[in-house]
Amino acid sequence: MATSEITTRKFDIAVVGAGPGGYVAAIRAAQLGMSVAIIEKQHMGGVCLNWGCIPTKSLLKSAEVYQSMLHAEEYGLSTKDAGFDIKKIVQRSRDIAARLSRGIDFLMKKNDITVISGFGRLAAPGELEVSVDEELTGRVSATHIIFATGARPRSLPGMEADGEVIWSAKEAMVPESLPGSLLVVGSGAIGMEFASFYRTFGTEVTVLEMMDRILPQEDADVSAAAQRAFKKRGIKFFTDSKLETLEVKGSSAEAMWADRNGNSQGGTFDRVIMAVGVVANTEGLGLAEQGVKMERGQVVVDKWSETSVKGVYAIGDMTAPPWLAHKASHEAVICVEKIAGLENLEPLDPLSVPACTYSSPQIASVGLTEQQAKEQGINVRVGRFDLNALGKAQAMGEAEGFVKTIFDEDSGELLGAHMLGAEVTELIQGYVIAQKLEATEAELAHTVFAHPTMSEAMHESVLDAYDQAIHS
Amino acid sequence: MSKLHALTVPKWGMSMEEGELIEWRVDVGDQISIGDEFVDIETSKIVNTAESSCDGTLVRIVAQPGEIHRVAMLLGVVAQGDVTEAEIDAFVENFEPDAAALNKPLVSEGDDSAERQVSYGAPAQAAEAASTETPAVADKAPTASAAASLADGPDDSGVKASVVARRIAKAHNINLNNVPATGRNGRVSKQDVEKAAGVSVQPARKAKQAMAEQPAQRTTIDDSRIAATPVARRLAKKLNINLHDVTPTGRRNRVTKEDIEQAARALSGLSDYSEVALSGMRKTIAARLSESKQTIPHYRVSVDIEIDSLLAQRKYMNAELGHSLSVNDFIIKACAGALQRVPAVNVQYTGDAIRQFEQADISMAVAIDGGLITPVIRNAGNKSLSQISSEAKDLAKRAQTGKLTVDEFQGGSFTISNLGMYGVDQFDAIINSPQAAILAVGAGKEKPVVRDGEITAATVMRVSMSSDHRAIDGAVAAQFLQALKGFLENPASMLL
Repeated sequence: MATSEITTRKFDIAVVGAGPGGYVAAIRAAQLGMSVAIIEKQHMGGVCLNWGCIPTKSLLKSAEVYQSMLHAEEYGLSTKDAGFDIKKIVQRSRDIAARLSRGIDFLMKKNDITVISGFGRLAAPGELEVSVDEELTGRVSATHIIFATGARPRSLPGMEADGEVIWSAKEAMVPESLPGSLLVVGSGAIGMEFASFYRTFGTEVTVLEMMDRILPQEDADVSAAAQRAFKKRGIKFFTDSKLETLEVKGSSAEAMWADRNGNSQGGTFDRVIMAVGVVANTEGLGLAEQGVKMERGQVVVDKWSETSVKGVYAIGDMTAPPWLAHKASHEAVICVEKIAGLENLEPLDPLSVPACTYSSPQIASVGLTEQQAKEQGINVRVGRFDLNALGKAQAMGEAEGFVKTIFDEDSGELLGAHMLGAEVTELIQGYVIAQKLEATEAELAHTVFAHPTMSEAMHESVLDAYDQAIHS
Repeated sequence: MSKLHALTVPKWGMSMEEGELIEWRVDVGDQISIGDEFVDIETSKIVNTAESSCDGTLVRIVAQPGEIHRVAMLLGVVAQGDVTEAEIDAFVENFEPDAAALNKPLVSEGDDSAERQVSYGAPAQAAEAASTETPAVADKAPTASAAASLADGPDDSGVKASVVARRIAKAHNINLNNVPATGRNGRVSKQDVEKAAGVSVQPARKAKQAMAEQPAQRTTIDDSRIAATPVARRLAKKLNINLHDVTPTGRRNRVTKEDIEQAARALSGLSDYSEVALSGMRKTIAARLSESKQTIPHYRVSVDIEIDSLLAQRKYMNAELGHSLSVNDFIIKACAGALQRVPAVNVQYTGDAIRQFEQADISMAVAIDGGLITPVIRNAGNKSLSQISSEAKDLAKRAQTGKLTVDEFQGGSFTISNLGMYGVDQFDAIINSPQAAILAVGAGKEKPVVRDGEITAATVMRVSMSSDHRAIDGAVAAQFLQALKGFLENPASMLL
């Protein structure tokens, strides 16, 4: 394309990246009457929708149904030859991702948002250059530019994913066949979801964690109970263990690590999934060149998501944690509403962002862990209720897990909630709302919870914090 | 001769009452000889290294770094030959500080700096002079380097530490690799960092607690109809805050938890804060200046001095003669000259006498990290401008790095405090006791002045002298300022 053909298009807001941060920002800006362009180099919906949250939930649903089939007899049912076809399981997940991605296309059209394919780069404040295969294809000028380019799996030096034997999350969600043995490096939400999925379909799964407990972001009680539950399902764990070498030999990988006692351990695995966190996608965007301040590879922003360069914003995984899709979406709305000059805005409090892991059993949490609260010198009251004392959990055959709540004794504030068990990812929202409304234990205690539901455990946990639990 | 000897806190000057142990230079088991440097101690003035007064093997360390001990108190025990732990225990148990040492500074016989001071008739000052046997700390800058070394080190993001510990460390620029960990599983705890930094971080709840401790006050009418979140209402009750006294910022004008916390801070006058323990220097500054301000009847006299001529002279001397004289150097020289012309200002009030000094020893206030110090230019009246200039530069530079010897900052008969470089018009200073006068110097600024009925521009510098009325009367102070003004407005006259 000759340079002369490249024109500059003008917008009020340009968004770079069409993931759950970017596309939400674009829609909200359009709703507020701004002219909006969104620049995306690959898929509408970003990693979340195409290679993250959504397709993995589809895979895990297949696993859950299969698990139920295997346990049919416990429910008085019989199945003949319960089986699965991994190709079809994967296909279902891809179909759902594709459908939702088209849904984003539709939303862009509906909101009159200009979608530009290509890689957006900040050429100057208010100026973007768009390129495809490193060839300049267009220029965009906008008063406000929001970067929402997300993050990618972190790789350990010398142990980079090759896509064949060593997988990143992306390859792990489109297996052509089931590996006989699998090493999962990292026991965060992503690692545990894959460990859980593959284990359900019979793979021998080993999980390696550098910290002294799995799911290190969660409350210590949750880590301990989750590890017990996963062990019961046959997953092996090495905590306090650091991967030292990882070598691909033919169609398998040899891994060596030092265990908690400093002893060298090792094994050969058909596949390895690297799930050791994410790194922000900030390279090549022209941010550093234009003076945008970075710290530890992340873009530094103020509480309204503006970077150190006026008119340039960054939201989602490329900024400070938590690195979660719903955090990106929420920041997107606040950022755009602030640009639009709306009043009564509240910046996002990272402690109010819930976190969910969709393994079996599920894990969900919000706010401070017990340890964090105590480290802050807060006088806490802690409640805990085990699901096996709950009628609905027994009826569902899902009596594993518990609900833990942490209150500030002085103010009655709900500081944190931590849950393990069936459907807890759906339950957590009750506590998130309570926290946002600054409810105390009294309001929660006086709220009527339907019987029989899993949510009764939420009620009992609150009551337990004040020694009033009925069923324990 | 007993087998066991005590290593104690030395007395480096009359005003020295205690010292903070900074670092041991020897370990238990090390051989030590008379004169060996064994420990670094920070006093209110400097960091200095104490020398051993005995030979033997260090068998016990009694005082730990960071602890503050009074003069003559036990720091460690040295033994000659074999001793048992029980003997050492008994020695430590029965140790009595030397009563004489408590009052007697370390002045060695024939110390010339002491004699020189005696010669101009200031025995108390002489006593403050340092022993020549305790030279300057040549290789250790005080607190600044301690702080710097805490900040150094490799990336500490991998160090196991609590979130709070990490946050405090970050706030105080401390590398976690330098903090000994005592927390669970070898983790660095909040206390560890506080200990390393010498700070105590008060949790944000302090303001709230202070509120709760106060009786109910302010608005007392029923606030149950004010919209508030449940947490906010509970907190308000706990803190005795009436919701009428709180500005709501929540949705639909609801009072939120944050609003209550904000109100608690505002109503209690307490913001979140952290505390840093007083350094030895800070304590001395606090004690001496409080005493000075409370016991000396201060009064101030000020005068405007036109320094255009001085600036022109200085420009020539610096540009053409290759000097690098500062305005302050001229002021030091002029003060010395004025003290010679009006000796009644070069005095001290002793309680039963007026002590008249014969030479003008000018103390100059130097701001240093964590406080200030006043090195002395001795007999400035008999020194040339260039001598004064190089001496002043050298003293100021070494003051910054904590390398002044004790005799370089004790004594002095008159102090100059110059804040002109900060552009202040004028200020008043507190007398540097036991001296009787201090000159506070403002910035030289172009101002309109009236001369022969005409308004014209001149560079005007205002000086204000605080004097001890017990020793110096107003007319005397005025004469001094007149003489000073004369010298500074006619710099050539300083050559006489």
